[in-house]
Amino acid sequence: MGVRYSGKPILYSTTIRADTSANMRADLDAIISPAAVARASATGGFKYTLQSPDGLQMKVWVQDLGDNDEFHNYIRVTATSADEERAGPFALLSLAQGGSFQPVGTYEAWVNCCQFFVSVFGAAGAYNFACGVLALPSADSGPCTATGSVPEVTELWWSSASDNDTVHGALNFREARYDSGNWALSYNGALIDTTGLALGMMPLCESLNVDYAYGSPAAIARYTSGVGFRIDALIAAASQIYGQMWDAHLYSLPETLDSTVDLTDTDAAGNSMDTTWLVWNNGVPSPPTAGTGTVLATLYLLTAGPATESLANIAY
Amino acid sequence: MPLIDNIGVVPYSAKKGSSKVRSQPMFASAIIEALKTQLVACGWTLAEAIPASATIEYPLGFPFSLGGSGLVGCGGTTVIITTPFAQFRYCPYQPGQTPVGIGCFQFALGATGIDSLANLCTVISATSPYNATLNLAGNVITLTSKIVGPFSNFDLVSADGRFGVTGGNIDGGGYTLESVGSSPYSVNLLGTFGIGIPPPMVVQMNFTLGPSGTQGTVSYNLGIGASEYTVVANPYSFAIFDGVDPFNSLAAFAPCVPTSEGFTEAYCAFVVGPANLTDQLMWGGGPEGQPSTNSLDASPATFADNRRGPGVLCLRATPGFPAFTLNGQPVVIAAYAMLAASRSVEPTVVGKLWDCLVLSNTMVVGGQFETGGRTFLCIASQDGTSGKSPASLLFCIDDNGQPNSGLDGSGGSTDTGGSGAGGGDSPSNPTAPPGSGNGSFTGTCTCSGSPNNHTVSWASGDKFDPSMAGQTLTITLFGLVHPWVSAGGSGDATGTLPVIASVVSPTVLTTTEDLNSSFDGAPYTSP
Repeated sequence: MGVRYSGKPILYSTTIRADTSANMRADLDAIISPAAVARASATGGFKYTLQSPDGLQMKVWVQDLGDNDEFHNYIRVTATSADEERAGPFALLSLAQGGSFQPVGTYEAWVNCCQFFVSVFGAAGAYNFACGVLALPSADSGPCTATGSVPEVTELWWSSASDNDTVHGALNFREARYDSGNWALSYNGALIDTTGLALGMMPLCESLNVDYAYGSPAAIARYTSGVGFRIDALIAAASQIYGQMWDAHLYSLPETLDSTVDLTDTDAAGNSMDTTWLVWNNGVPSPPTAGTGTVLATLYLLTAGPATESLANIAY
Repeated sequence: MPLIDNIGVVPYSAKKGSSKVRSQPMFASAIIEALKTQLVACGWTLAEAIPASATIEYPLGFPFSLGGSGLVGCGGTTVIITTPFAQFRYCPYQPGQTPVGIGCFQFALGATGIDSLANLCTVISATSPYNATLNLAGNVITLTSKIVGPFSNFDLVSADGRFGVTGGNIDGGGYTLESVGSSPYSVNLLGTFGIGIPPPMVVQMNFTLGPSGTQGTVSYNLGIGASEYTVVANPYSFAIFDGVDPFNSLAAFAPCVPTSEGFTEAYCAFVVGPANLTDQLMWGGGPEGQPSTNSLDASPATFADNRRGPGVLCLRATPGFPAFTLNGQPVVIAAYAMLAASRSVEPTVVGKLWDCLVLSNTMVVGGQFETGGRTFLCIASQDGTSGKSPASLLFCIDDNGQPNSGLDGSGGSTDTGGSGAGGGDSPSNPTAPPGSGNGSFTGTCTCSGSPNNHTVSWASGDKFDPSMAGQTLTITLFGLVHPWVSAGGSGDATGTLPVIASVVSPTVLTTTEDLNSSFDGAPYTSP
């Protein structure tokens, strides 16, 4: 296996304005639209159709539906199936309110053809959202396919929202390696039952209960040199591994949120490929003995090759 | 180098294998012999065959010659040596007497007690399966088996309590074997007695490991419990277990350290102590805190701390759940070994276990698994209780013609981790979970045998599956006589039974031919 490069444009911005609803929606539209295969008007905003290189689709909705409380006004972001029959929990992105209640500065957003990540820039926790279509196992290699033919997949998308919707205090993909609350995964026409489950990125770690908070600290998988492992960004819920994130990988050590790193990859022909990656999540577990947060898995998103502009188009 | 660590690339050695051994009736000797045979077959060096021995002490001296005359029979037995096949009794006589006893070997008392003991040693050496030597300073006779190896272990020796004192047990026979590779270590396999009332017979394993100049030795005892043990081995590792009691298990590994994959070159070997191996994949702290021993570029350190290993990594899905692909199959990855040089430091990932995979699901220990054209045996498995990641450690026991990795200088082709042959991350033909209708099946069955009753009933292991219809059923008989077994006679043998006619249920199948005898508890494999 290896990184599943979409080969499609990747857009990344750290200057999504939050001063007004119109500006935030406009900035998000400017970054999502070039990556989406379709855009249509929706109440208070737009709905964008994202399509993976495998041909699977989903939609992400960015709307101003008048969500507010006594402190904030919000933009609502929701993931749905392409036919709009199934929806995941929405996230509320707070607008800057000014005064002592001003919660945010600017937002950052990362988009490729089939994934969308948005969060307050430089902060984990509240006001973030992520969704995407998972990559199907490649036809000719990897542990997910060699056992036989891949089942026919017509729909395979996920979403992870900060805790503005239903489950407060839950973890999400901005602050942890799993989402324990407001997440969705839709597979072949049905949302899976999320009750009591989490949507997780799969770390490579010791086999004990690494999430146990009251024992010794979970042992982090790292080479003797101190370097961590970089592995495929697989997504699982309960017993099922559903697929792999596009243009992403996991690192077994915690990293600084929103930092970037240049890494060299090798393509299938053996050619070196210079790439730049963004640390999307960071979370310190509490208490620190547990393997929650991102102690065991940091999500890296591809931003660009060093020789290109922020718009990358890396074929693999 | 690819950005992503290809966690599917498995280092395959040139030699590997497995065997089964029954602990009864030869107890520890059979286990030692089987383990030695398997290790030598996998390229280990047989450095020494060690004879069993015992001592008899005479702290107060020994009678000496008074002189005499006449005939003398068997009286005043001084030493008795008892083997499974004979008993050797030794009685003294006075010089001048004529020994006529036919139930003993007689020796003349000497002018001093030392002379008498020297005479006793001479006669013992001449007449028994033991050489007897006398330590003059300590008045101690050492009995050493003339047969090297474990076979004389647990013979008995007794001495006249008026003069001689002995523990009564002859033990310590066995072998010294040395592994190969960049992190060599040695192990003494000895039959001896453990701690208990009465003292249980055990296989003592003394491991000497560590970088040159900092080597140390650590001893573990393998309990003798169930009737059958399984041994797996390659040039760098071995494991032995009965699959019943975790205390009756032990393993040692020297991982492959491919620096091209980011590992740091270092001496690394570790011993998985009893009670650790079979029920978990982190081995430093069994159910009662049993330790393991790690040597990572330093003297061996023995401690019990399962966060610091040794152990292997696995992919973690939702806590407590196994991880299946969209095909409903578990994932297999290389067995990354993680351990700490001591309890006071953090563990690191030091290499990959040769010939091993980690499966993202629970399996029956001892069960077989087919993937990438190779045959594996499950040597450890843990479920998802207490939030653990369900996972199993599989040891390749047969390449079935697939190439090895060439990483051990054996000239094999390099495993690139791709699909198909040699691709360790590609379970092209995995054994499905029991009952899923794919792959091979192993277990124990009961065969009912009357001319009109062709029933085979499942007893344990994989359950029968409709896909078995049309295949043959191979049954191993232990110590039984059966006409289907080509070897005939008694003893362990394997035979092919009639074709499976139908699978009536997951626990019952029928065959196309009569089963005209009956026997229970026969392990089967199919197809």
